[in-house]
Amino acid sequence: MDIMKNCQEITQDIEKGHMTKLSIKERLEIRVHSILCPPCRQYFKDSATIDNMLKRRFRHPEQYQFSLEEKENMKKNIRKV
Amino acid sequence: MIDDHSDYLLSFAMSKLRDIDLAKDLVQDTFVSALTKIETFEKRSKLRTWLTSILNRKIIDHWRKAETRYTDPISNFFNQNDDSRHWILEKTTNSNIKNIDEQINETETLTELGDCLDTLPEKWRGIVASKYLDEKESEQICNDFDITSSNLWVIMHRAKLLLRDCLNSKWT
Repeated sequence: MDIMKNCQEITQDIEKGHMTKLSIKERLEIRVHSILCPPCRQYFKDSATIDNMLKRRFRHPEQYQFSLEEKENMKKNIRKV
Repeated sequence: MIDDHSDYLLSFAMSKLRDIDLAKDLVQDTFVSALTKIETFEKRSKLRTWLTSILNRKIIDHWRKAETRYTDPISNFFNQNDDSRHWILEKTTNSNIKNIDEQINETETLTELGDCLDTLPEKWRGIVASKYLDEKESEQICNDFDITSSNLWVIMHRAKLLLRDCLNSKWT
């Protein structure tokens, strides 16, 4: 009988939890599984950390610029339209 | 219009794409589209917001087209039918993300994270950007990329595993 979800399913549910609200059953499954399984416990932490890093990363995007020449070219191209 | 908004739009496009030439083309296309349908622009919204939404549509169209060039990224994932109870174990032994995040200088960490993002398949990177840059709801992302919500979780999961591997390898 296979009542326990495997690591793949659990870590996927952890990810699901970042995007939507989990059911009580799902949350419980993650909690119980994580007690028994150090790698999934680790994934749970890492997933949250990376989530946080990604948020910060996209809050401060790198800046890019067109050269003056490129801008002039664009204006010319657009005038043709 | 170009002087005021082109650099902003380019930076926006580059936080989603990694190809600077493509990004420049899409920004130019955006201005062309904007001019041809300027009558649909409603004065009460900001010009920049309007331009950004046009650009965003173009980026999504690009991703959708790009997708057909590759095999479905998710199918690879599901085909890994080796003992899935243990597969994650091997991937975890040296994970040190928390320390990386806390100890290393913020700018450097985020730059490295940016490099790691560039190693993701284009579509995944797009999905990550939609979630974290546009802060779109899951439903909207699924719609844009034409995927189911469980596909979305699998992709985010897989993307994070790759990002974690990548970050760990940069500091070992």
